[in-house]
Amino acid sequence: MQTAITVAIVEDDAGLRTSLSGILQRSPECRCVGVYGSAEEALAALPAVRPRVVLMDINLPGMDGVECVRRLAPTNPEAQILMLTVHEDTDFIFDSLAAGASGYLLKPVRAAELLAAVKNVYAGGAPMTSSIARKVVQSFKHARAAAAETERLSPREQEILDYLAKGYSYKETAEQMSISYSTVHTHIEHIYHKLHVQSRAQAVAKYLGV
Amino acid sequence: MGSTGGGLNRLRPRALELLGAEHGLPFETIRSVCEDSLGSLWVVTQNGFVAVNRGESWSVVSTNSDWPRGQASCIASDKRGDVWIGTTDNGLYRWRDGQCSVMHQRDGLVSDRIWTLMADSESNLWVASDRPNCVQRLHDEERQRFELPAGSRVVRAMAEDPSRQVWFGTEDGRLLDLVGSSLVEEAQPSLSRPAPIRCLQATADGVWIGYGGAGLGWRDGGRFMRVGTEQGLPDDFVSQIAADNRGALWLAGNRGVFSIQVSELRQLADGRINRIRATSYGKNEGLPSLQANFGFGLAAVRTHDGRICFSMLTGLAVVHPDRIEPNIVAPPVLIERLTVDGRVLVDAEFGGSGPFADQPLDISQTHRELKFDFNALSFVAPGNVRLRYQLDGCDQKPIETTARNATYSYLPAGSYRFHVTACNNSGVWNADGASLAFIVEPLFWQTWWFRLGFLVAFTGATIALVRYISFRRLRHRLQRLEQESVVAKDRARIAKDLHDDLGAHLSHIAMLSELAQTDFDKPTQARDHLDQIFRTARLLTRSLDEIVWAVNPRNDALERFVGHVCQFAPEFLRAAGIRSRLDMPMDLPPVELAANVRHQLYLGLKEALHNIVKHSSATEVWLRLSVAEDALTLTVEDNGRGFDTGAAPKNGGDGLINLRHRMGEIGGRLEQDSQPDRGARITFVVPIEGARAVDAPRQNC
Repeated sequence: MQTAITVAIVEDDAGLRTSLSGILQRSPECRCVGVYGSAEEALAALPAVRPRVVLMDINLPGMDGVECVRRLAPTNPEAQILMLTVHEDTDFIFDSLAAGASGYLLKPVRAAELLAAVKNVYAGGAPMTSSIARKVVQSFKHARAAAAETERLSPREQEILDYLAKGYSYKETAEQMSISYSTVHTHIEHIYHKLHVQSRAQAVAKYLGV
Repeated sequence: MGSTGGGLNRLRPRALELLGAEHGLPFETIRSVCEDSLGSLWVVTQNGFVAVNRGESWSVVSTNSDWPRGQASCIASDKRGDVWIGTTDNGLYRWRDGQCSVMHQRDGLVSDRIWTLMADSESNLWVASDRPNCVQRLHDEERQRFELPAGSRVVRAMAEDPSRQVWFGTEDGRLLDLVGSSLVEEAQPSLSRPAPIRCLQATADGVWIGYGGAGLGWRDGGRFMRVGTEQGLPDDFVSQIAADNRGALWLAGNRGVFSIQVSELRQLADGRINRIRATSYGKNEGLPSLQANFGFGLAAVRTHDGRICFSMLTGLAVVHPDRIEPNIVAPPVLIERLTVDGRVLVDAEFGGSGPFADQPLDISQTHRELKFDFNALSFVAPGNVRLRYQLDGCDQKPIETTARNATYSYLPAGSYRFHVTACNNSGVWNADGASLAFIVEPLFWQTWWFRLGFLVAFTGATIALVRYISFRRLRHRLQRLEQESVVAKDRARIAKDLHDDLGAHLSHIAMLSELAQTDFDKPTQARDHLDQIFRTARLLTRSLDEIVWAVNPRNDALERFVGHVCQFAPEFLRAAGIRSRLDMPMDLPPVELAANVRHQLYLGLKEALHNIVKHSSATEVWLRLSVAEDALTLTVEDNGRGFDTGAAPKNGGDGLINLRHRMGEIGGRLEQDSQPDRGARITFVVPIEGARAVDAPRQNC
C-alpha cells in the first residue's frame, strides 16, 4: 500500500474544518496530519509536521492566506498548497499562485473534487486557467526591467501563456504548438517557478520600500 | 480830460500836498507842528530848526543869542498867543511877542530834555520829558507834577477832549487820564498785548489811540474797540491822528495818509459790518512813499480853516478835506482774460463792449486751475478801487479784494457764472459789474447717461450672476439627487437579487433536507436529495459571489471586468462541452464602467451564452473585445445553427428583445448578424467615457 498523502488544513471556520478533515479521513489515500485555525498557528507547527499537501483558506484572521503561503515556501518547500476560496477572485488567486501555491478550489467543494485535486497537486499538477494566464502575462510585462535573463519568460513560455489566455486547453495548446502535453506541463511549471521568484523579489523590494 | 467809460473828468486841485524844502522849509523831515493864535503854522524840523509860515512862505525863526538854534524837538501854542518850544537838551523856550525866554531844570523843570508838549484850553502847558516817572503841568509860575504809575515808560502822546479831560499815552501802551489830581490808568480790553501809544486824539466821538503795531483804538465812554488791518485799516502803525469836521478821521502812519469814516467805525463797533473802507492818499497824488514821523509831539494839527497837517519824513503833508469830492462815477468793470491751466481761453484785450458770446463756455473737467483776470477802470484814485467777485456755484458769498485776479481749481462738473464788480474811492459800486458764464463738462463717467447705463449694466450683471449661481446650485443638487437615485436603485436591485436568488435557494435547501429525512430509507432518493442540496448550495454561493462582485466598486475597472469574463465564460462553456476562444486586448485603458453598465453587460453576456448553450448546438464560441474612444464593443460569435434575423420570433420567447432592452437601459445598442447554418454573431456596443482606442490583437490561428 502506498503511503497516504499527508494533508494539513488551515481554515478558520470550525464547521468547514470538521467537514474537510472528515472527507480526508474517509479516504484511504489521504491522511489528515494537522488542523489549524489561523496562519500563525500553521506557521508555528507546519515546519515540524511537514505535510505534503496543505489546504489553505485565502481568508484567514490575522495574517491572510497569501502571506502564509509566502512564508511556508522556504520552510516547507516540499508542500504543495491548495488555496480554498469562496470568491473566484482572479487577483487573490493569482497572488497566492505567485506566492507559491499550486492550485485552488472553490468552496463549497465536492468530496470527490477535493480528493482529486489533492492527488493531482501531490503529483505535481500545475493548473493554469485562461484568466490566470492573462494575469501572468500582465505580471511579467510589468516586471522590473532589472530582472535577469533567466527570470524573464522565454518565447515558448510566452507563446504557451498566450494560447492559454485565449482559452485553449493544455491539450489544444500542445496541438497548436506541435509539442507534447507533458512539455506544456513542464513549461508551465517553469513559468510558475519564475513567477515565484519574481513574486519573492517584489515582496523584498516592497519590504525595503524600493 | 477825457477817459474811456468815465466820460469827461474835471481836473481839480489835489486834496493832499506835500510841502518841502522847495517851499522854504529848512529841512524836509518834520518833527512837530502847531498853529498859533494868529493862524500861522509853526514847525520843528528834524535838524532842530523852527520855521513859521506867514502867508505863503516859510521862514526860519531866529532871535537873540539865547536861542539855541538846531535843538528844537517839539512845539505847542496856547490861547494866549505864546509859542512854547521844547528842546532836546536845553530846556523849554517860550516865544512871546518876538521875545524868547527859557526855563531849565534848575528853574523847576523836571528835565531839560523835552519830548512832547501840549497846551490845553485853559492855557496849561503839559510837558513830557525823558523822565518816565511823571508829567508836568505849567501855568504861569505854577509847576505841578503828576506821577505816572510805577514802571511806566515815557509819555509820547497827549490829547484833550471837548470836556476838558486830558489824556496821556505811554511808550509801553498805558492809557491814562487826569482824575482829580492824579493820573489814572484806563483799561484797553481789546488789546491782547500792550502796544506803544504813538498818538492820541480826543473828539466828541471819544478818545482815538494810535498804536505802534496794533492799529487804531477807540474808547467811547465804557466801550473800547480796536481796529486793525484785518478790519480794513490800511496800516497797523498809526503815528498821527487828526479829525476833520466832515465826519472823517485822518491817520498817518508808515504807509502814508488815509482817511476813514467815523460812521463806518460805529457800524463796525455795532457789528453791522466787519470791514471798514479807508481811502488812501499819497500814491494817487504822486507821492509814493509818504511816511509819518513820530516820537516828538504833537505832530498833527487841524488848522482853524479845516486843513490838516501831518509831520512826514519827506515834508509837511497838508490835507484839504474840502477839496475832496465824492466820486459818483462807478468804475466800469471788465473781465480781461480767462486762463485755464496756463492756456488763455478768452482774451478781451482787443474786445469791444461784450467780448463773450451769449452761450456759456465749455471747459473740460480735466482742468487744474482756472484764473480770471479782471479790472476796474478809474483814473481817480485807482488804488482806492475795491473789487468784489463771486463764482456762482462755488462761492457762498462775495469776496472782496484789491487784487485784479481770482483763481479757482478743480471745479466739479456743473454750470457756473463768475461775477465781478467794483466800487470807486468814494464807495460807489458798479451795480452790474461783469460776468462770464461757463460750464465744466463732466468726465464721461460722471454724466447721467453713463451713470444710468452703468447702473443698469451693473444691476443686469448682478441679476445674471445670481441666476447663474442659483442655476449651478440647482444643477448640482439635481446631479446629486440623480446619483442618489442611481445608488438607491442599485441598492434596491441588490436587495431584490439577494432576496430572490439567495432566499429561494436557501428555502430550496431546507426543503431538500426535509425530503432527505422523509426518504431516509430510500437511499437512492435520499442520495439524490442530498446531491441536490450540494448543487443548490453551490449555486447559492456562486450567486452570492456574483452579487458581491457586482456590488464591489473595485470591479468597476474595465480590466477587472474583462478578467472576470475570462474567468467565468470559458468555464461555463466548457461545462456545456463548448470550446471558447478569448480575444481580449492585454493592454486595456484605465476606464471605469458605470455600475449599471457593468451589470447589464454582464447579464447580457450571460444570457447570450445561455442562449448559445441552449439553442445553437455550437461547438466553439469566440469572445472579442475592442475599445474605442467612447464605446466598448463585445462580440459573441458561435459556429452553431444560426438563425434567420428577418424571421419572426419562435416559441414566443425572443431572448434578443431582452438583450436589446438591457442595452437600451445603459445607452448602448445590440447588433446581430446571422444566417441559417452559418452561426451567429451578437455585438454589444456600450458607451464608456474617456478611453483610447484599443483593439484586440488579431489572432492568427
